[in-house]
Formats: sequence, structure tokens, C-alpha cells
Amino acid sequence: MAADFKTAQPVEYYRKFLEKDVRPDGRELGEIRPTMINIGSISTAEGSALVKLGNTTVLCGVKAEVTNPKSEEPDKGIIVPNVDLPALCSPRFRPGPPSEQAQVVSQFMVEVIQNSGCIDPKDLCIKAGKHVWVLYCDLVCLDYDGNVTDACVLALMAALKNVSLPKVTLNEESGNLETHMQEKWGLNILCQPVATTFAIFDDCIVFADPTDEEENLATGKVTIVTTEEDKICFVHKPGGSPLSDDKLQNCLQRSFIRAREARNLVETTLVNVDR
Amino acid sequence: MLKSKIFLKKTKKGSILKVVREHYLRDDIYCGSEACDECPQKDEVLELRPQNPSSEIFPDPHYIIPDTNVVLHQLDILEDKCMKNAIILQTVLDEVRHRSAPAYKRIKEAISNPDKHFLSFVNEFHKDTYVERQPRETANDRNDRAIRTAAKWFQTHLFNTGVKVILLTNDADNKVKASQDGVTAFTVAEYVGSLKDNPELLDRLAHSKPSNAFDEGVQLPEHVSIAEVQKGLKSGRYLQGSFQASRDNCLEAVVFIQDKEDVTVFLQGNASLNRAVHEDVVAVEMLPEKDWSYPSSLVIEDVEGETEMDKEARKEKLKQPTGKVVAIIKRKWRQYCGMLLPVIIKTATRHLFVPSERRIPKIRIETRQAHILQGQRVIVAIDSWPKNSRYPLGHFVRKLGTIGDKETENEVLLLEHDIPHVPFSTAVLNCLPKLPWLITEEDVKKRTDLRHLHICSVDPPGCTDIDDALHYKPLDNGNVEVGVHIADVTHFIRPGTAIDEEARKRGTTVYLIDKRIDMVPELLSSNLCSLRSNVDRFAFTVIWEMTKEAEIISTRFMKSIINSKASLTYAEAQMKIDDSKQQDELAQSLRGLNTLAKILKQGRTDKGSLSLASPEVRFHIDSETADPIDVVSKELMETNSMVEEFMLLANVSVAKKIYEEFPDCAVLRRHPSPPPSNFKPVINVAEARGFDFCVDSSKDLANSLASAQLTENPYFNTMLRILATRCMMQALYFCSGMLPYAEFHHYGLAAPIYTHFTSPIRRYPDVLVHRLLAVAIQADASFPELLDKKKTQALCNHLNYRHKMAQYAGRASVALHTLLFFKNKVLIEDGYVMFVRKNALTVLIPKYGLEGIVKLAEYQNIMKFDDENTVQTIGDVIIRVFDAVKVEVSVDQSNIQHQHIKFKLVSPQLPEIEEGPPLKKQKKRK
Amino acid sequence: MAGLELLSDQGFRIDGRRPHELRRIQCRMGVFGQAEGSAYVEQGNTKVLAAVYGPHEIRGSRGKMQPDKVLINCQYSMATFSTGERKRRPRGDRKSQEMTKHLQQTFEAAVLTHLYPRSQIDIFVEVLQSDGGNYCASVNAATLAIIDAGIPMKDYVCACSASYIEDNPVVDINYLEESSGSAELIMAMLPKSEQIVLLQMNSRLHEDNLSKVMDMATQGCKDVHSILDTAVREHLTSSIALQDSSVT
Repeated sequence: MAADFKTAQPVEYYRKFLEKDVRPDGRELGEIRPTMINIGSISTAEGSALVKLGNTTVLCGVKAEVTNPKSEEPDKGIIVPNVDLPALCSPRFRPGPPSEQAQVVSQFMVEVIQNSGCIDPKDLCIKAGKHVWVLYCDLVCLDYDGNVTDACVLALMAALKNVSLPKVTLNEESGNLETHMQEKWGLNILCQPVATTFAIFDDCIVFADPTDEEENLATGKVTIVTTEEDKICFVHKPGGSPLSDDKLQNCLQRSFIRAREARNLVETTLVNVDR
Repeated sequence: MLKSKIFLKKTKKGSILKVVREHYLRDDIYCGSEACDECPQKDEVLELRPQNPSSEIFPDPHYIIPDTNVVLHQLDILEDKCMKNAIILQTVLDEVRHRSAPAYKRIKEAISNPDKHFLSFVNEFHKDTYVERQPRETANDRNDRAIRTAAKWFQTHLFNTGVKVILLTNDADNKVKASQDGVTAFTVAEYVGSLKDNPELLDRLAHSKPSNAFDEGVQLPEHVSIAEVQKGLKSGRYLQGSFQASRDNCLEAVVFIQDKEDVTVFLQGNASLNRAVHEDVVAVEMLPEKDWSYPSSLVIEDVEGETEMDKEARKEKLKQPTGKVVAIIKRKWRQYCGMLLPVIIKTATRHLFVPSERRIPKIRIETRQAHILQGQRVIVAIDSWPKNSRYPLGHFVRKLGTIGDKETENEVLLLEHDIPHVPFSTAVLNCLPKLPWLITEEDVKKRTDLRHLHICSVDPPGCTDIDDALHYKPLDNGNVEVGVHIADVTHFIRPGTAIDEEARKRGTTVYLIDKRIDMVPELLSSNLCSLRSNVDRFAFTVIWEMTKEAEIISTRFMKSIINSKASLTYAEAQMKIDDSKQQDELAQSLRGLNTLAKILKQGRTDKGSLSLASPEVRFHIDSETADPIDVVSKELMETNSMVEEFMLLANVSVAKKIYEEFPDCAVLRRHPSPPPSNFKPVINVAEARGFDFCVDSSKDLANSLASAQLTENPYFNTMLRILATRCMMQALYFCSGMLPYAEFHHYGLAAPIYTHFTSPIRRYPDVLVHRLLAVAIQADASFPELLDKKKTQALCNHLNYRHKMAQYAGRASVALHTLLFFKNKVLIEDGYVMFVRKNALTVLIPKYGLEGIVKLAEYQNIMKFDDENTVQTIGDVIIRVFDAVKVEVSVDQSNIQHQHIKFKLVSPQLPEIEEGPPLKKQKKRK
Repeated sequence: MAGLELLSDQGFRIDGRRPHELRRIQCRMGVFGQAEGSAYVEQGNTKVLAAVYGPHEIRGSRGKMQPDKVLINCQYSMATFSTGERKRRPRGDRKSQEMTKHLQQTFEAAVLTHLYPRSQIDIFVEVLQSDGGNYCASVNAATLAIIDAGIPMKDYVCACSASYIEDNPVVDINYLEESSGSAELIMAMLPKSEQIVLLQMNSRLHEDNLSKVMDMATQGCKDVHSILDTAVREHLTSSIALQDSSVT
């Protein structure tokens, strides 16, 4: 009976729930799905993290290579995030070249890294003008159930915190790179951005962490990225229903709380990973 | 299935690559001790009551655990038969494997010897003995810790059995740490010293650390570190090469630079040689050009009327690129035969050992039994060469016997030529067929029955390993059928068996004058495989149908059963052919074969096949003393060449067949064309006598050789051939997949393709060829190694080495017997001058095939040497190459280790020379 | 310097296994919500995720539709961080396309394709970490995912590799053993009937040894089968228990 109603009139079905300030999966409007992080599970990667946000699952693996720096930035390392939404993760995606959505999320990740300044690219320099580290941060979505951006940001940051690199120095005499196997170092993470996404329903109702279904019904979306000490580093609102100032304020408050929770989660998980 | 296994990851950082490996730890690795009741194991290796030699410091029954350095350096101790019940940890074994291949081989042999009770314990995969490398811990420290952990585990595990374990380590730090862990640890010296029943073991102790300075004032330069060497090699500052010590001067050597064929670097002086030993791979640094030098053998004499300036200029010309050794990249030390220098102080324990190989320096050893070792041949191993010692340090391994004794000298000869000569092991003998050996019906079914044919063999007298036999049959169509039958050795030696391994290792039968070291046990070589007359034998047969003009119509290969009708010697066969009264089938066959052989030989010669010469001699051995009583040159008869022709033909036919079937993995034999420059000595000599000598191809060479006849000196041609033989390259076995077809060429035989098929009893390559041919004609199944070209090539290299060493050993044996023959004799013999050098002549005495040097140094002042034409003028005597001379032959016994034959020129008589002042003083050295 | 000793005299392989031992295999079924069926398989350090969608109507070009049987559409993909050296593209390279094709062929032979004419089944495989035996782990994971999706098959498809090292047949080879240059044999079979679905061999192997290696691989497939079967049974028991508890 309920299922038929949902199939026939999904929006109406949702409205009925939201009138009672509750969502069909039992969550309150501001409630975020249970989050789980697993760090360092991929041993071929220099750093890795698996994030489950409800059913949405994202795996991030960081591979490091030594490369030549860009000529305009000779002393800066390079961080290349890439998001892959394979056909495996949802019936929505088809095998083929990267979808538009995947490219949008990838670009979003680039901006998060740049805007937050979470890593000083100069830390990744081995010899200015000659050799720098490049970090390939590949994010694979394994199960797509909405709000992949939040999961991606979380997975990326957890994986970066997990990165362990060998010390590499340039031998001036021979011109060769020398690797010191025993001396490893982790990245200096200056701040940890956390993204929180809200969906706008019927132009007025705002709820956090939408599922795939909710994303399809939503009329608008806003993503807020904050860093430690409740600083906003990035707000992304790609069109859709306009949002009032006070609603945005609510969202901000909610995202500060969420960011703190998420950071705690990463820290506790990291402590349990022996590296 | 895997169960209850803890599993860890070992992460190894490559340059930047991240390598992840799994490492499973197991609970099913057992202690291997008979004393233990806990482990559900079978086939315990360690004894219940270890009967180790009673130690004064540790009387309890115990097992020993040597650490890596002990296994690497004290193998002579561990190999002693009184050392039993040792636990060799995997950690140790892996390290040894990486650091020294010979040591690894030796310790593996010890482990596989059931009498030693050596257990190889896989501690790295055992759940309780695996240790993970800690941050900032070096690999060595981690391994030491792993060894201690395993020792501790054994101690706890065996606690209730009453058997203890002892860790043997020479590393002081490791020993202290072991004691802290509660593990009993001794140094090898402590342990061996406490074995009161085996005092002789102490002599074998390798001395790695110099206790104090050896030679006052000797301080050789430090070697640079491996890292420095690698850096230097890359930047071109250092060069890597093989160190070849000079035979004549222990302070000189040359280094053949790797990958650069013609580049050699000259080294002079102790500091430049810097502890390198003959054959070592070293890193050298070039000296600045102004410090370059030249070998002292190139003595600079004063020339009349020459100014100092001219002389300096001449010296400059002689100078060679000179360098110094900065580090040893790889030691090629082995065990050396030799003798101790006579002792002056009776009770001294330090002695100098003189190796019989002149290129090896003297070795300092410690022994308490010097008085027994005087006049004995002994074996010594080098352990180390500290920088404050003039000589390397070594230890005594074993003694061989009295110097000059024929048995001892034979043993030395075999050892020095690396010839495996221990009796065949039981495992090998177990592979032999049981006697009486009978041919079964099955065999008859599989093989072609050729017992009705009139087959005979022709060999030298006294030959018991008959490889080959022949037959000849006229056919009705006017053609003839010729068969070559080769002993079917591969029927008995199956691939992968112990007997096959052993034969492969030996590679060839080695013939010494009074001894034969068989490749396969005697039962096969002289009985079951040997194609003796009037018994049924298995053979591998090649049958040709030929026209009377020896043109091959068809070739067939088959496994067969034959029954030889006669085993003839060359002389007997020759008599049968020559005696026209004999008209039986055998005699007619032989005549037919002989006729064909002549045609074949002519055809071969026309194509440019060379007939070369080397002086071969036979000794008449006294049957009682086994000392040689007379020497005769080997005589060659027509029948020798008859047999040879058909063997060559068979080899070529087989080579074609196996190459056709297995283009990638056929075992063939090639003989590279020598570079024309090699022939310079021959050309010089021939042209000096007015002959045109062309060496552009083997055909030209053959023609030139044939035309160079001197009526007044009939031996001239033979000598020319002897000389030409020495200009040749070595013939080599190789795998067809490794070279282009153009390089298969056999220069000496002028054949495009060639192999060895006809002597499988005494040559392993023939065994391989038999197997390939058997597969090619579907008479046998193939097997993996046969078709692996890399393995085959590696095997060919090994066989080439064995072949070369066997030849050297054979020559050395002739030399030894010649020496024994001339001992206490002074004879005047006819000889010919082979070479004329600046201050010596090389003279060959054809009667004995003996070559010796006549020194002319004493005539220094009145000699004139013409370098261009190699003519020596002494006073009014002119000596040219190939001149006939008379020499007095005697044995120079002044050096007991290197006794040698001395030649003195009798005719032409050289002018008397006044006793002048010693040469050295005349030289002006700057 | 001596190279790696792939099989020691004591009979241990480089990772401590004996020649006939498989790596540790761990599997989980029903790991994801979006797909009809999914499974995760760890075979030593090789980690593979498989998802199955369908049967559903044909997507993409209708031309691929088969009137008498279902279309099996596969995609094999490797995460860029799954190997020692970073892969440039996760899929679309030749090796991946070959794997994709092999997977398709394997499952066309095992799934009861006639039951779903004019439909499509998607099998997607993602290798998260690779240490040799990628195809085998992919097949094993896909089998579990298909079972999870409830699509009928003739039998489990079990895959296992084998090689011949130092004159010994060895089973389930890891990356190091794969890259040693010795022969590599890959086999997928229906264990109950012992029918071979896919067999591939690379590099040279003497024919005398082929049967030994085949026997080793066959035994490996059977061992894999018993592990997969146990996993399926455990998964079913626990989900039934879950349902029971939710009912009461």
C-alpha cells in the first residue's frame, strides 16, 4: 500500500512525511546518516580510506610519484584528485567515459583542496625546479546512495592523513634520487575541511545528507565546507531553489557541528590504525 | 588448506615503488629433533642423544646453531665429520645464499648428508620465531635478532628433553645480547678449543681478525666502500675488471676491464695490487699518465751510442696505462694446493704456505702440526687479508701426501683443474642396472635388430670404453650401405636421475697418462655400453646409403641392437686391409670403408678442412713401479683416419637432423674463425723460408700448409702445422637458439654445422645430442630441460669449461710423466726451434713431444735480436725459427714445488762467455 | 647476487605457503544496496568487489538483444591505486578489455541464460588491490554476487591459477610468482561436474608437466569451491536468522 503510493506519487509521499518533520528512512531533517571510516586498508596505496555514509561508499587511494614540477611553480608539489563513478556503484551509471557528474565532483575536490589550504604544496618539494611529489588521489564510488561529495571529501582527507612517504633526497653528485627506506614521513595536514550537503525540497524545506532518492526529488542543493574553528572555506550552491539567509544560517550551524563530529571520527579511527 | 595461520604483511619500499608481499606464518613446522615428543613429526634429523664431540666448556648433550658469519667463514670446521647435529636457520641460509654461492652449495651439501644430522629449520615461516624488522633497525641486526629468537625458541622447546642448544657466533655484540636473552653462546674459537678429542680442528679455524700487526711497517691502502665503488663506476672514475696476477712477478698484474675487450690496466707494486688475488673482480683507478709504468720483464738495456734522452724516449714508448686497485668487488678465492715453507723455529705456529699456482700469493696460516706437514702437499683456504699484512691469512684444510709422489701429484693435478674425481656415490650406483643384464622382448620390439650385420669396432690398443662400431654392405643396386653404431648410453642414463646429474657434473671422462676418471661408472663405460665383440649391445645407429663415390643418397637414424663381430685395434685393422690374402667379409668391409673414407677425406680437404698437428706421445709404463720407462710419439695409421672420417660424417648428419627438428635448442659445436692477426708467427716463419702464405680462409690456410714443404727438413711441415694449431680458437659447444646460423661454422672441419654424437660414454654433450636425436626420431619422450634454451646454453658453458679443464689436466699429466721420466737422467736430444724470443728459445723435441725453453740471458752482451724476422744472432751463431738443434735435457730440482725440465743448447755451440759482473749492476735505473 | 628463490629446498614458497596451499580467502556477500547482488572477495592481497545488476531490460543498443537468451554484460576495472605502480586508466586498456571478455565468456557458460530471453545481466568487477590472480578472484567474487542476486547457474564457477616452479606444480600464484617468467595456467571450472569453462596458459611449459599443473589447478578450484560454498551457506543462515528475528 505504502510502496504503491511511493511509486505513484513520490513527491506527495515525501511531503506527507516531511510535514511531520521526519523522513521516510526515519531520520530527522538535520540528521546525517551513520558514518563509518576504515583507514589504511589498501596496502598498495601510500594512503587509503574507505568511507561509508549510510549506504554510500567511497574508497580513496593515494599513490605518490616523483615528477618534474610545473615551470611556473618550481617548488610546489602537485595534488591530483579524481572521482570515478563506475557503473558498478549504481544502476544510474552506464559503462563508458567519465560522466558529467563525476567530472563535476572531481573539480569540486580540486577546489576544496585549494581553498582550504589543507596541504602546503611546498612540503611536497624534493628539489626545487627538478623533483617534486605528485599525489594522485583516486576516489572510487563503490555504492551510490546520494551525497557522494560529502563522502568523497571525508575519504580524501582521511586518506591524506594516512599517507606515509619514504624520505627521498637528491644526490647532487650523481644526480640520482636516493630513497631512504627506513625514514618515513606523513603529510603535514594544516586543516581538515569537512563538507556537509543539504537538499532543498519544495523550495522551503531543507534537510541534510540526502539519499539518492532524495536527491532526485530535491529542487535545490547546497554544500558547505568548513574547517577547524568553525571557519567557512567554501559554499557551493549550484542554482535550483533560492535559499533564504536564515535557512543558510541554520545550515551553517548544522555543518559546524557535523564537521566537528567527522573530525573526531577520523582522529579516533587514525589512532586505531598502527602505522 | 590453510588454517590457523596468523598473517602479516611485509611492506618493502623499492625506489619509490611500493611492494606488498604476503607472509604466512605457520604452526606446522616442527623442531626436527628425535628427542622431542611434542611435535607430531616424522623423519627427525637431529639425534636423540647428540654424540657431539665432548666439549670441556659445555659437557651436556647439545645441538649447535651457527650464525651467518660462522657458516660463511668456518665451513671447514662445520664440514668436519665430528661436527654433527647443527641447526641451520633459514635466515642464515638466505644470507649465505646472497653472499656466497660456493658457501651456499657447500652448506647445502652438508644438510643433505644424512650422517651429519644437519637440520634446516624454516624459522622465517614459523609463527613463534618470525621477527619483524623494527623501525630504524638494520637488516643485519634484524637477522641477528631472528637467529637469537630461534635459538631461544629451541632452548625453551627442548627444555624437557635435556638436550640444550648452543649459539655459535663470532660477533661479540651478538654474543652479549644472546646471553642477555638467556641463550648459551660461544665463539667458534671457544667452542672448537674446548673439544679436547679433536685438537686438529683448531688448525682449520678461519682467522678473520688479525690479532696484532703482522708485518712491521706494512700498511696497505684502505679499500673504498661498496657505495663509493658503485658511484665511481657510474661516473667513470673507477673501472671494473678481472684481476690477473703476473706469472713471473708477484708485484705485477694486469686487469682486464669488463665489457671492453682490448683494454687492460697494468698494476705494479704492493700498494697498487692492494690485496687483490688472481681472478678477483676488482675496481681500479687510473694513475695520472706521468706515473705510468711498464712490466719489469721489458728490461731496458743500454744501447751503444745512445744518449740518455733517447733511452728515456724508449722507456716512454714502453709505458702502459697503469692504475691501482681501490676495492675488491668479488673475491674468487678457492682452496689452493701447495706446500709450507720450511720452518726455522720448531715450535712456531705461524707459517707461510706457497701455492703451486704461481699467480697466487703466499698465504699465512697457523698450525701446530707444521713438522708433519713438511714435504707434504697440503690444501689451504684464504680467510681474509688485513691491510697490515703482506700476505693473506688462511687456514689449513687437509693434506694430500708427499711431494713428488705420483699419487699425490695426480691428486694435485685433479684438484688444480677442478675435476670431480671422488668415487661414485651410492645414489649414483643405485641407478645402474642389475646384473645379469638381459635384453627383454620389449627391447627387441622397440629396436631395429641389426645383429646379423658384420659390425666391427676399431680403437686404440687397450681401449675398454668402445663408443663406436662400423659396418659396410654392398647393395644390389650398386650402391653401398654404411652404418655407424654408437653406444646407446642414454638408454641407461635417464634424465633427472642421480647418475645423470653426476655425469652432467663431470661433463667428460678425463684421461691422464696412468689413470682414467670416468664420466659414468665402470659397469656402463667398460661393459654394458661398450660395444664389445660377440655380445648383444644397444646402439644408436646412423645408416647411409651411398654411391661408390661416397655421395649420400639417404640417411636413417634408429635405435638398434647389434652384435659386433670383432674389436680390432688400428694396427690389426690396418693389417687386415693390407694383407690381400684375407678375403673374409670383415676384411672386405674394412677395405670398402677405407676406400670410401679416402674419398670423403679428399672431399673434405677440397672444401678447406684443415689437417693440423699436435705432438702426441705415449708412455711405456713400467708395470711394477708404474713409472714411465719410455716415451714414443703416437703413430697415425690409415685406419685412424678411416674411423675418424665416418665419425665426422655421423656427427654432421646428426647435427643437421637435430638442428632441423630443434632449431632453438640443439646442442652443436662450433669453431670460430681465428682473426688473421693470430697467424702472424706462422706467416713470419713461412715467409722467412720463401713461401707465400695465405690465411684468408681455412681453404687458403690448408693449401698454404700443404705447399710449404722443405726437402732438407721433412719435419718443417709438421712444425708449421703445430704452430698453426696454436693460432686457432677453441671449439665450443653451444645451443643453437642463442646464435645466428652464420656463427655455427666449424672452421677446422670447414663444416657449416657440426656436433658431437659419437662418444656418449666419455662426453656429456653427446648424451644431450643422443636425447635430442631420440626425440627427433620419436624413439624417446622429450622432457622439459631438453627444450629450454637458456638452461641448455648454461649447460654448454659448463661443458666447455669441463672440456677445457680435462684437456689441461691431460697435458699436465703428460708433463708430470715427462718429468718423472727425465728424473735423474741427462740426455742429449734432437730438437727444433719453435720460437725465438728476445732472451730465450723455445725448443720442441719431437721424439717426446716435449717443449722447453733454452735461456739465453747469459749472452746478453753479445746477442743481437732482430724483432722483425725473429732471428737471434749470438756472436757468429745465427738462430732462426725451425732450425734443427741439439739440446741437453735434465730436470731442475732446485725448487721442489716447481720441478721442471731444463734445456741447454749443445749444438750449434754457443761462444764461451766470460763470467761478467751480474747483469743487474749494468742497468741504470732512474 | 642470487635472485629470488621461489621455492625453497624445504618446500616453502616465497610467502611461506607450501606448493598445494591456496592463499587465505575471505568473502562477504550482499555488501551493497544498489545492486541486485554483490560480493567482496579477498584472496591474499588481491581484493575484488563484484556487483550484479539485473536481469533487466536491454540498455544501450537494442541490437545486442538476443531472442533466446539473456545478454551478459561485463565490465572489469582496476582501481588506479591497486597496483605497485599507479595505473593510468582503470579500464578500457587492452588488458582490462581482455579480462572483460573472459568474464563474459565464463559466465555465459555457467548462467542459465535461456531463462531470461531478451534481457540483460550486468556483472561489474572492480579490483581494489592486486597481488596476482586477478581473473580468478574476479570470477570467484562474481559467482558470489550472482548467487546473491538469485540468478540461477549450473554450478558455482570457481577459478584458480597454477604454475610450475622449480620442477613443482604450485597453486594460486601471487604476483611475484606470476612475474617470475614461469608458466601461468588459469582455469575456471564447474567443480561438481569438473567441467572446464575457461582455460588459459601463458609462457612455455613442457607438455609432460601440463597434466601435473592441470591437476593442481583442478584441486585448487575444488578447494575454492568449498570455501565459497561455506560462505554462501553462512550468509544465507545469517540472513534467514535476521528475517526471523524481524518477523517475531
